[in-house]
Amino acid sequence: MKSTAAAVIVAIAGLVLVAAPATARERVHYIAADDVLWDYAPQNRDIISGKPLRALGSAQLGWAYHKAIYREYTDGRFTTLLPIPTDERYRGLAGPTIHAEVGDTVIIVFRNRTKLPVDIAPTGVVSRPMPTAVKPGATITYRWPVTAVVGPTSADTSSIVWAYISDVQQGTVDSAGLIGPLIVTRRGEARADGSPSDVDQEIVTLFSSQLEDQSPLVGENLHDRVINARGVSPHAKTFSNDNAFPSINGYVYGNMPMPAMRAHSRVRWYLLSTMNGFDGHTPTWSGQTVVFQGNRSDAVPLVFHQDVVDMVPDDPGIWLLTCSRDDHLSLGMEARYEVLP
Amino acid sequence: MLKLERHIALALIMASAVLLACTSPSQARIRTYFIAADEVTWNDAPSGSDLIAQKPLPPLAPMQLGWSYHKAIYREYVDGTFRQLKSRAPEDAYLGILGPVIHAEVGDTVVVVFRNNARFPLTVHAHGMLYIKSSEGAPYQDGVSAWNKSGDSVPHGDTFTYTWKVPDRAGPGPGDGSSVIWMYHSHQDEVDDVNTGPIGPIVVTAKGMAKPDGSPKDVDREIFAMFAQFDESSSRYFPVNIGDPRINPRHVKLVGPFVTSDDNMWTINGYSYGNMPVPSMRVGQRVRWYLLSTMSDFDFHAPHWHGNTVVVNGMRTDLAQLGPMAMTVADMTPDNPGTWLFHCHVNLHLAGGMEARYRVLP
Repeated sequence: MKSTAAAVIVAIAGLVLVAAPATARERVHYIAADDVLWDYAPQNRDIISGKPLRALGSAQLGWAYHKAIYREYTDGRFTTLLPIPTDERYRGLAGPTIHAEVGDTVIIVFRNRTKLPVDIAPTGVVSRPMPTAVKPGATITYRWPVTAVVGPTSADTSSIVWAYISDVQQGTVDSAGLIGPLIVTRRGEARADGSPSDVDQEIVTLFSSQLEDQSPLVGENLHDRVINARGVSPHAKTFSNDNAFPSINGYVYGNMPMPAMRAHSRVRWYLLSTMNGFDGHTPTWSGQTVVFQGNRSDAVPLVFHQDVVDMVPDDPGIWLLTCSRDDHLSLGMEARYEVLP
Repeated sequence: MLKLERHIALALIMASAVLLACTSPSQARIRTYFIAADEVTWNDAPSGSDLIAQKPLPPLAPMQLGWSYHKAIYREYVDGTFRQLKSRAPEDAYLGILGPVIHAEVGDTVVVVFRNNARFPLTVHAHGMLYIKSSEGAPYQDGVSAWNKSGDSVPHGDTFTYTWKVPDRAGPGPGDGSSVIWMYHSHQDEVDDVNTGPIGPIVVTAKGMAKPDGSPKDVDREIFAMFAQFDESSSRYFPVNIGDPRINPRHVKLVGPFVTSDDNMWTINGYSYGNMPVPSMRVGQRVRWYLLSTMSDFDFHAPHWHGNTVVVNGMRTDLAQLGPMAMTVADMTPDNPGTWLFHCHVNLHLAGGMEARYRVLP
């Protein structure tokens, strides 16, 4: 009799456990748009070929530019940057990774620390209030309810990726660098931090042709004698081409710190892209294969959107991650990643 | 009684034989290919005509050298002496500039004995396959010893043997059909090499789904089509081509530092304006089209079949989508006999001759 009661209690407890929705969380991030001096090739070498960087184009300012990027802070005073773990330094230009499980609400305390009117607007998710240009120096709090309509469908992987961007002025995404990932995990399939529980490691890569000639900071760059040491004129015939940087996380010629992963671990790559006429990429891995939309591949199309690909690396070593477009490759759209045994 | 016993014994033996045949894993094979990079003079329109419109080819663009270029392409030989080319069956003539089709079943090992007969160092770099660093065929700073770099740059006249394993992860994924397509190409200088010509297809069939030759059992005819914007001004042979009066009879000279887009050739398997030999198939056959593209900035293509439909990723269509370095499968069961157009639906590419035909026999 006692045992029957116990069994009933256990069964009910089990039912409650199964039926109970995952706890809906509020996930707070303190994110600022910051002015930074960004170097596309901080190692000052072509790390892929092992040779010096190619000569500057005739109208190229250099390898470093004033840019605006999203960075995460520890709290609303915006005085201390949230430290980026060493093994995530490869993220580079890409904004902080925001995780949410369906049902959660993301709360963004946003401060505009640039001189430009910018904002932070998620794709997919409906933001409240609606993002509009935030005045330099101002702070606004946004609520992003992560509902089922922005979560994975049954055909998706356990998590999908959206981009958050500054959408108030042309050029702030593609040229200044204001873009980051919002990862949404299916309800009940997330860890406490919102990442998918069936994945061992997540890697975010931004494939973007950053067009410095269209940057809202182009004037500042031109007039800065350190950036524009050679006194390049914006009227030079090749100004647009020479200041375009097809890059991965804001790095060219293998200057991206290498992400490392263990053989036989479950690695999920989130691929972001910007949307200008020089974008349209084919992220390509050597050494390993991936599964993309159920298909096996090692080269996936990334045209103005986001992709999720899964990899179980099995071939240790240092390998290439590149865009397979010849004009992008020639301009250094190549990085490396490492598989540890 | 004895007879009955014998019958039972026989039945048992047969039953166990059937069981064995069903459960025994298919034989893992080592498949060896002898492939050379050979220098050829490649003509994109060997008939001299636009065979789709039945009229002369369009006039040469101002900076276009012609319709023929020196190129290096992969060709298959019968053995490691590289004296005798392996002949290509007439029904495979449409493969054109593509290197030999490499077939493997999951579990196999592929060995490519590569001879570089071209004047430049070239390699064989495979997509999808599992290789150790010495068989990657791509030189870059990957932190490995010199021994492991021997396949990264094969000089003129040298031979190098690449070995690739074909594990599960090289075969079909959960949403794929019985086989998937990969590419192999030279990666000594990736950009220039692909425009130079050495590219070929690899088909990997799921374990247990392959015929002895490695092709999928549930497919009657495999067709390969590579949509390529060959940028001849980025080919390693471009200086040679400019200086050769047979290639450049009008003595076109380069003006300024910019290379011309007039030498962008819009091709399917290396052919323009319907000059690709017409592949044929029968009504009701299970035809698998493997679609590839190369790496140029304009290699965004929309292969379109007239007359029949295909299934891509489980969805019915008559138009596939390719970006640079695409490797895509489309299945067709033709029901409409005739000679049909197969072309890229991007205006500029179509106008540039990226069109071919295929034939469905009754």
